[in-house]
Amino acid sequence: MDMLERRLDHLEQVILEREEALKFLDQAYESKLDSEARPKPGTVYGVDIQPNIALGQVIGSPAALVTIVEAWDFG
Amino acid sequence: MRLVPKHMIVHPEQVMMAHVTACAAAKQGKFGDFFKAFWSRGYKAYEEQRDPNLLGQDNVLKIAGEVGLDLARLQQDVVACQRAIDADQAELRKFRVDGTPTFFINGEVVTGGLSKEGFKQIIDRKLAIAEQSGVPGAQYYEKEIRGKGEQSARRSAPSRK
Repeated sequence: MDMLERRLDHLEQVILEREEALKFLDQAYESKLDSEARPKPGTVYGVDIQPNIALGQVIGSPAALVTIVEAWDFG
Repeated sequence: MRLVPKHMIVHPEQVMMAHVTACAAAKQGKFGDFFKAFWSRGYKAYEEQRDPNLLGQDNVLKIAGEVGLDLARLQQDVVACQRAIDADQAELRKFRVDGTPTFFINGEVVTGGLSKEGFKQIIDRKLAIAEQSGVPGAQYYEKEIRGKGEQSARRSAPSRK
């Protein structure tokens, strides 16, 4: 019985270690995906413009069918 | 057509004051006036003369005064505007914008230098799509672009079973 318990403890420890290793690899992979991600041409991205509209940081008609969001820097 | 500039400051040491002032101008209903004035009398002048003072506080406030900003109110808005600038940059980071200018034309990204004709082609295509949708202009962006578009540029990792 003792031997079985020890064996079970060992297996549980192995599983725990593997789960931790997989979690670490998942995080590393997610981080790699993040660093490589770029907006893709042809995809529509829903950038939030409500704060800018509320602030008055907008030029042109609110009824325009085309909205251009510009990431802008005075430099 | 509508232009929504979002702050994405690459050189804060040079232009933070101008961006804060642009935000304060927006709060006073004069964003377009300051935006255009600073490009011509601030940045363009700096490019021609290479005088860093043209980007500095004195010139920014001079231009702000010339376009009719209430400078006392501007001072009161500095903290709120810094928060608004941070929020713009955080939103753009979700879409992995890491340079300027970057445009989203009805949600479609255009980076770097695109010719005027290239812009026109994309705008015409987007306009045709919007017209066909039957959605009124005042609702189009929120409903069709913000509502249906991707909410970030991040790729999802395949799920491991």
